[in-house]
Amino acid sequence: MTDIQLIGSPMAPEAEEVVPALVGAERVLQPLARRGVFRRLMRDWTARIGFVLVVLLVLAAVLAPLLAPHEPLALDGGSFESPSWSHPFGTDRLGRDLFSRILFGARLSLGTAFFASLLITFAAVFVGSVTGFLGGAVDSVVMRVVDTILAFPSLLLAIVVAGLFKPSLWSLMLALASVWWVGYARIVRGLVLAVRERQFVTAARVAGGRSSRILIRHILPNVLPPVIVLATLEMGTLILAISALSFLGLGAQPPTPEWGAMLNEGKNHFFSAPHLMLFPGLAISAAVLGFNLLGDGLRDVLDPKS
Amino acid sequence: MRRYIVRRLASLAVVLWGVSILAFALGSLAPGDPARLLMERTLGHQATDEEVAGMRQELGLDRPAVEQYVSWAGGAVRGDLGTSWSNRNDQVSDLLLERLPRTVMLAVTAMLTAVIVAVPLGVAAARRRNSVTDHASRVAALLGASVPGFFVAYLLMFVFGVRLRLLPIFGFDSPQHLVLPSITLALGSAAILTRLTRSSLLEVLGEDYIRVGRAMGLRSRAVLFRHGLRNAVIPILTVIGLSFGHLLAGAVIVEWIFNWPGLGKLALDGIHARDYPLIQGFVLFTGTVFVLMNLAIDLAYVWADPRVRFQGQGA
Repeated sequence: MTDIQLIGSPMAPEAEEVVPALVGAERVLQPLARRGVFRRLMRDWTARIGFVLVVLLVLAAVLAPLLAPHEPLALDGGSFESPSWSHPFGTDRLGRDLFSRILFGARLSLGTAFFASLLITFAAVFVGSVTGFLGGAVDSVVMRVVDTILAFPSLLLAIVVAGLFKPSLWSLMLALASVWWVGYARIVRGLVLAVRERQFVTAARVAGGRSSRILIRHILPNVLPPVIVLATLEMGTLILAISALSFLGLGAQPPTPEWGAMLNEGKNHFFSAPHLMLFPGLAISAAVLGFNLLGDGLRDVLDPKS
Repeated sequence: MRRYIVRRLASLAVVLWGVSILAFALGSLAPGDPARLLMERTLGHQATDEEVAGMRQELGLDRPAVEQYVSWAGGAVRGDLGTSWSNRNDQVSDLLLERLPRTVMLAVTAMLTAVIVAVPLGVAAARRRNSVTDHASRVAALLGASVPGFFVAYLLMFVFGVRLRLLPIFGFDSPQHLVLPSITLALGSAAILTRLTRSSLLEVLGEDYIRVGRAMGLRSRAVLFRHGLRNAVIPILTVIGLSFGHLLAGAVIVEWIFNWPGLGKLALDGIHARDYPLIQGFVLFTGTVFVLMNLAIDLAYVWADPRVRFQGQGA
């Protein structure tokens, strides 16, 4: 799994540990929608903080062009200005407004994390459901590939893969997805194996349904919800990984206002102008904290033991 | 038990084989022509097609991929991972072995730091559930898991290195140089360990035998440490073992920030220099280390937990 700990986020749940809860929660999941997951979620103060942080972040990303006092790439201040009324977070070496850059950075961080998790979910559902459903040689071979990739801490492998390509946000996203899908694929496969044995699948088979139809109409609808929940839980980890790789110079490149890349730019002037690192660092921390708190709360609410 | 170990070793061999293919593929599937890259780096200017072709032959890149893999893997088995393209053409295996102890030193210090902070904090939190201590430990763990280490590193440098001038910031000349990198590296693991200690201790404290112990009038300290913590220790040990892998991965970033000449810095420098033999060697080496470490953890787990041990014998 994730590793993050990486300095990554150890708080993100280990896949193996979430899944039994989620699978068990399957029965609970549907009625929960009626009983109000959201209301139960908001009962916990930490989840409330997480929710507020995430909402603020999404607002910042969506409304960046309206909220930003300056253009993120415009050189319209003195260099290394300290925070002031016209530049709330100060300016960088080239006189760009840090506050505006951070607002636009929210789009990049959230957007990249969102598309990466979309890619991951897609790949995992495809591979996991096909191997779980077909079994046999395909299954054994693919699962050995999965074992091999899982032998490494995800972040470490993502760093190596991203390093092979010309650094950009796209190559970073592909590198993350190419490593991160495996854990999910194993989970999807496990879920498919469990659902495959259920009576309604047997019934569909007896009724003469084709395999592909059974997989798509009967099995996948039961597999998707827990996988989507899991992907949501891991948004914080992904945001952390994205900024870590960009910080190492393996992702977004200057002048892109990506938070990790901004930290990388700021580190050369850290001792003379610490605000260059302080604000992007706080932005990353707030985003990761928000998603982790929300994810933790969601996990508690969905856990049938609670 | 023996059957379990045999099965575990068989799957280990398959995964190691997979790791070697992955390591090789990462170096050879990379976009761009490594022969041209290396030739132009040695020449310092644009290379002609003939020169590139010559270099390709010299490197053996004109042979089929399978043949290249076999000769590379064959060398790797004998401890020969080829020569590094940067680093004065040193042997990759020498470079890796020279840097390994420094990374291990960093990771072990970080792990000890994490355990020393996290276990008492987790025990205190579990002992007084919903107390101020409990909430404070929860907040600390959340922050430790969410604030990126590469940000904390600079905060620490600023406070202890620049403002207070207590500790050195870069390099690795003295024991003091170890302090800031290991604290940075320890944060994530400390956060997860605190929460895990709390939750597994709480779970054990809810068991019937604890209630019996209390009912029979055992002192709460004896219940807590002799019966509670002892039974909570297995999941804690497992996580300690597992987070070593993550520590080694996190070390890549921490070593880069603090200019700590370990494995991670070697790898990142190799990545930035597109030193493919070094990257392949690093991936194979760390992959093997992780696989073996996971095996050791699994076996230790079987050995430490009589329930698992005897179940294995029965099977």
